[in-house]
Amino acid sequence: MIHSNCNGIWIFGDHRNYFQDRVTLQLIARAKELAEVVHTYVGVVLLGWEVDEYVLEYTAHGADKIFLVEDERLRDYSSDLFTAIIADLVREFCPEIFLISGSDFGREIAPRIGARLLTGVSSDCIALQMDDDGNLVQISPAFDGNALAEIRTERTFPQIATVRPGVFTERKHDYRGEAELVRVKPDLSRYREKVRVRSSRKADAPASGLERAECVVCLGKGAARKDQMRKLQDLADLLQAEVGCTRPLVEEGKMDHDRLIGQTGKCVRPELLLVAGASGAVQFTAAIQTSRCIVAVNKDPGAAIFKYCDIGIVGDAASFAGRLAKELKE
Amino acid sequence: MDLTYTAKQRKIKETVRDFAEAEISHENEDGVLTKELMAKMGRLSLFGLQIPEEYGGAALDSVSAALCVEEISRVSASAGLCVSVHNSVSALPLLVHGTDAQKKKYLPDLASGRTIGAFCLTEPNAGSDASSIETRAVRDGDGCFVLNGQKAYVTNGGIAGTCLIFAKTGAGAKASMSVLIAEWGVKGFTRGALEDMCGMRGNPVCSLFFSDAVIPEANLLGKEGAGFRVAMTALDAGRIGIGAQGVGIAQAALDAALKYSGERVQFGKPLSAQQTIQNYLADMATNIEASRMLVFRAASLKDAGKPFTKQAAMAKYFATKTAMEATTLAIQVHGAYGYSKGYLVERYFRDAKVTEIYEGANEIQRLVIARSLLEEQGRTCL
Amino acid sequence: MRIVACVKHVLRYMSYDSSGRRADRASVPGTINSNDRVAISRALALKSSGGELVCLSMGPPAAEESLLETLAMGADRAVLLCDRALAEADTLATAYPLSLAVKKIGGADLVICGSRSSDSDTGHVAPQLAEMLDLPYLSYVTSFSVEERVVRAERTVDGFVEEIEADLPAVLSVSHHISERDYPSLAGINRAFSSGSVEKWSAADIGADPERVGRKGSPTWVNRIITPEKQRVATIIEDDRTQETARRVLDFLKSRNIMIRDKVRARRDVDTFEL
Repeated sequence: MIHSNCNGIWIFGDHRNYFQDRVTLQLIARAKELAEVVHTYVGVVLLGWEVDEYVLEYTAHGADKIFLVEDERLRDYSSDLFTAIIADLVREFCPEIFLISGSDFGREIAPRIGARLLTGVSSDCIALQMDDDGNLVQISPAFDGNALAEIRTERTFPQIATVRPGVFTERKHDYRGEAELVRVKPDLSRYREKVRVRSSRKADAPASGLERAECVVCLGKGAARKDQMRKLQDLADLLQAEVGCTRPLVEEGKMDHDRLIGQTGKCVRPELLLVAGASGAVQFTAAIQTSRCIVAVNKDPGAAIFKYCDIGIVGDAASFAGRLAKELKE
Repeated sequence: MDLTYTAKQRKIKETVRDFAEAEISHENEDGVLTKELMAKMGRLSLFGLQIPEEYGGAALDSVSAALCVEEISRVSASAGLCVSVHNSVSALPLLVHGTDAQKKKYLPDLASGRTIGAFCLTEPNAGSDASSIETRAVRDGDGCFVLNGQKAYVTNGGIAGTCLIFAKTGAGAKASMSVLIAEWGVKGFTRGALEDMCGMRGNPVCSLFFSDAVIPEANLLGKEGAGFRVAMTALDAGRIGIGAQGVGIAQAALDAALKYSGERVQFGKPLSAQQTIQNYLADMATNIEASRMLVFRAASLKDAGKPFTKQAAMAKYFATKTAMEATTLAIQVHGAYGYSKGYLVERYFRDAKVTEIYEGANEIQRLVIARSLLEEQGRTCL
Repeated sequence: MRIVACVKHVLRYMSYDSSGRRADRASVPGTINSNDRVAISRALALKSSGGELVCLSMGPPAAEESLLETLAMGADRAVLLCDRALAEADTLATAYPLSLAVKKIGGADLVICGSRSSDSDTGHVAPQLAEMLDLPYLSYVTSFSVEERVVRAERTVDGFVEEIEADLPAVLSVSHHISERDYPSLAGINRAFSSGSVEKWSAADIGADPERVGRKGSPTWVNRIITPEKQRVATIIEDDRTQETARRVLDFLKSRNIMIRDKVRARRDVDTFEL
């Protein structure tokens, strides 16, 4: 779309994994900051059925407007329906910027919407800024996380970006806040569902709270033996820390994939991160960079992780963990 | 003369490198050749490098085959040895000297890796002095040979299914060396315990024993008395393979030394900023490049159908000497850490040593080179 | 059954040209994007019950090697869209010519792609290609099967385990969480690089609208590539294997205002109190 009468920063209301998944709230917070620069409103697009709770939450966390499409047929997420409905909403209301959560679903509908509207979409952004011309500067990892690409959508609207969860901080909720509710009732019979969902159930293993955790213990190859893992789990329990790991442990079946910290896994930004026995491959260090304080333990003094930590201990990770736990218990 | 890789060779090198990095364990030394790995290597055609497609092989040229051995050896010298010996001194002699029936019978299983090959010349009393082997094969008058003897330090011995056995046939003045194909499972054919060696520990090396083992005449490789010729075919090609193995081991040592010297900080700077270390790295790299060129030269001459005995000997001699020097330097660069089991360089060092000894000790290689030089001068050697 | 697998030729490692913006393609070797290898293996497995596999890529001349490798893996045909006019394209300006190429190939029953590439890692080309072909799009698939013109797939997305299906023709992308890898056999490489050939098509061959390809057709633009600087100056200590090391670390954390000793103590007090 090439249109200069566009107005508004939109957020996709990605609600199906709320309460743990808070990306929508994180995006609203950042959008409010950006909106101030270009003097516009922040709107949330919400599709679903019986979603009053989310209207309330989004309003309390800063939304100025909520564009609501409520229909029983939208109870479950549908990429085909959501893409089609949202594309039409965008055509009707012309937002200038559209931020979408970097969930699997968000990263699927964003490019589809972009293709329908012939506009630019950036992916997995870890930073967003406004430049002097009012363009959204989208910063996204490239080359296996080795570098960052600075991207702009220069001539088309909206400027669409998917954003990595955990990058921005949500605002404190204020239930006195008010937002304008715009109810839209499109004729859903116009839209075709090309992919049929035969079954959809929440996975059994509880999703780990790695991305929100304040304290994280990450296990690498050097802490992958049973006795070593136990020592580190004990320390993690003591610190009330979430436990994550690097790729080799997932590949050897020692930990679930949702514990993976790295380029194809989770990005963490805790207050305190303890990296135990991981060498610090680039795909990993890119996912931990925004942690406040990193403690790394590794037997190899030449391990790359020692360049990415605040304090590094050359030694056996599990042995150190055991002694740290002992020290804390006293 | 073009000394750059073709697109095909680049792709082969890249594929085998990726395979070796991902599939071969860097840490598991003794148990590196797992059943799964052997199966994967077979699927990749690593056991049929130069066997023609009609038998299920990859039909690669000798330079490409050398690249494969180098890349495997870079991660595991033991695995590289298994591949090299299987291809160049077991499958190749069968291809060159075998009858159609023998080729049809043995090559497909060798090419796929379903059967592993071995080359059995060395004995407790016959190392460099190959002609003094004592294993005897006597005709039983019933279309078979009865084989008695012992073969020592057989590479792949613990897993080999198709073994080329060098034995003395005939009697008195008519005694000569012949080669018999012995299949594992034949009555009277037993294996000793795996050797407990300083290095190359992932390769199942052991003794093979023959006690009145009955081998059909049809398993004679080449004519009776052709043993010497079969040995020459095998060893010339084998030397290219071991040269490639040496290059791989040396390259691994250099890669480790480069990485470590870039990260280890002493006296306020990384080791790699110190001139002494730079000299070591430069020497290692130059010798490795020279070794690689010697291997490729020998391989190219072989593919061109030209004599390559001298060059193969040079490649084996120089590359294995380079491997020993480079791995020694690599430990030195790592300092005390290099001497400990926690780092891989001490294994490279232990693996490198035997490459100067087997497949023709380097002393023999120099004899071969000198002999070639003297012959080329038009003089007969003593 | 005709399967078209979309493949990207990526660099094996990163390097910059003098502008600091684009990868220095000239000197760095390239290879098939690892997620696309998974797509090709899955396509080959499907093809084993009968069918044709065409591997399609848009890229520079060097990409021909990657396409020869797909022939080595077992593809029946390989097509490279190679044209200066198509270069410097973002995902939209990539999906468009790919969609034209699929049509020129004669259409496909199944278009299969990887989800992510190791360089740009957007994950956009597959969904945008599906939009342009107006075909059903099955994303992040971990396993799938085709029976009587219906493709059924399994996947896990956002913690939901799903079974989905669509009528053929359809576009499918394989999950980037699959890390298994197949290798072309050396015999295959020998054959492909000796006698295999890659069809090369230009923008004109596929009838591309010049406004929708290359830089012109790309709404997004990468202004620059930044290498993130190290922000931390690390303090490195040797573990003396005693409690002293643990104490030193706790003191360090305290100096950074991370009071874990106090927090643990406080929690313990609360627990004992509640008892």
